[in-house]
Amino acid sequence: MGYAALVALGAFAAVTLDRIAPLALVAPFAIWLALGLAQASDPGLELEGGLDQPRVAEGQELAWSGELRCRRRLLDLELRLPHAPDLSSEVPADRLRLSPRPGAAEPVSWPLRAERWGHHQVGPVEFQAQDAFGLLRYSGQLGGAGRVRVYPAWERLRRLADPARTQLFSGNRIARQHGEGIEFAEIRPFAAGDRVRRINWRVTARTGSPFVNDFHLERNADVILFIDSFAEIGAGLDSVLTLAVRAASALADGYLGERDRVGLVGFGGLLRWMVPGMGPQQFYRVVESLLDTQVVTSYAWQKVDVIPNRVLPPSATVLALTPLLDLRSLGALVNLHQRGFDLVVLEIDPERFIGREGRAVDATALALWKLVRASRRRALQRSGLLVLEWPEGLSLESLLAEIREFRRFARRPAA
Amino acid sequence: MGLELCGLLGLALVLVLARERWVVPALAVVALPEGAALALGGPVALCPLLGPALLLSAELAFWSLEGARPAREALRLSLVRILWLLLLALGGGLAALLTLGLAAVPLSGGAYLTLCGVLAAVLLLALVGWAGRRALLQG
Repeated sequence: MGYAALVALGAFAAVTLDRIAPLALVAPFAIWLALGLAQASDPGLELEGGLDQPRVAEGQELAWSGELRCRRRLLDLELRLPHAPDLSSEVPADRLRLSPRPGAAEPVSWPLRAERWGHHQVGPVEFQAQDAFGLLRYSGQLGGAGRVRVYPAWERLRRLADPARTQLFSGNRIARQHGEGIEFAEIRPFAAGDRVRRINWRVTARTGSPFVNDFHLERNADVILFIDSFAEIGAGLDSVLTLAVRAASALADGYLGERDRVGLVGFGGLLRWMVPGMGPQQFYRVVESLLDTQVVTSYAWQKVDVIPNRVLPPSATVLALTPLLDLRSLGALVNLHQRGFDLVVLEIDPERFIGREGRAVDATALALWKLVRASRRRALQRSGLLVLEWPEGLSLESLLAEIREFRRFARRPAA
Repeated sequence: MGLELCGLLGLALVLVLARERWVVPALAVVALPEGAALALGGPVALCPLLGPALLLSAELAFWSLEGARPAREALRLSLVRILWLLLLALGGGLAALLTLGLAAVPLSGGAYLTLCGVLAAVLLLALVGWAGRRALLQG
């Protein structure tokens, strides 16, 4: 555009001044412009390709690869692959520069690394190219966008906290009720309907009246994972939400492995839930649902009353992962406790993430904030909830051991 | 001289600030005194040198503002571009020379010659319009 204006200016000056010099001066620009415009045509770029894996785990590598074809020669072709910031690339600025030969298939590849869990969009590829004269610049998009699901990295739990109550379906948990099972419970006098093979012959012979062995039933439990996503502290991998999502994945993996039913309640600006289910499919459903967990700012007063009953079945154990930062989630937890659910609150300590972004934190404000959180914790504990702090450096497995110990030694206060 | 200096300073500022769209105006300011001097009776024979020099300056300025790339990787590309640039500068110089040569032909005026001039101007405009439209549609 600048050259055209310069040529026009030269021609105008030549005509008005009746001198040939201005026109001769801009003649090289006119030649450049004419040649450039005459050879301008569609570069005919085609890019076929996509992500090599639709789902990966945190820290794993993946690649966007494909083949590029162009119809005519381009002097300098720059391809850029836009992607979510939670994916990193070794390619500087995600830009590839190529000089493809017309008609030949040029392999293109962007190695990527999944840094953080979530649903991430990759592409479409953006291109910029110049013609041989550097006069015309072509730009646009090639192909479509791809999506990759990055699963959170979670620790394998060797031992879980036993739910307080079991359900009706068979599973690996020893129920309090007696019936058909393999775990011995007690010896009791024979009753009508008892099977003969259950008779304890030694005791019967010693006492002279028939006694039978009684066994515990083996049942499963319902575990609901409650994720508080009202507030977030930290960013990226160092954040409350990441810790909660990883812990929820580990718990889902552990409890589903024990043939329990696992459900999910995402309690935040956006209220989400998932009906409890069993098996490996449910694990993937839970994790996929966790991938959408994010902090959505909302001032609406959310309540658990809107959650359907089948999401929170009676006698379910609710494991809540919360930083105790929002009063709405506290209200919901008290509500669940009052409705008779076996509730365990795992309080993720958000203090560890404070100041990691390099911002100075006022000591007085921090002390006040800690006091507020402590008072909230005590209020929950006074209501009868089991609240366990999850400080930095403690593994989830250790926290679950604490729950087991608490349940073993805790005594209910006198009514 | 003052205006040329202003133009050069402007060009330097444009390059430092990496403002691509101000390269041509800055060059125009540099070339304005020269163009005016040539038009008002200066040595016209310098035009075939001055025009390509301006073109080279403009292209190198644009080139310097493009994204940097490792020299080893871009060596072949750079050679191709330099070659193209030199060829076009040479072509531009020849075109300027041809323009001067045609202007020097002692032709007297007349209706036919004026008609030829008008036709040539119309053809040139049509050619530029066609090439521009094609570039817009396909680029």
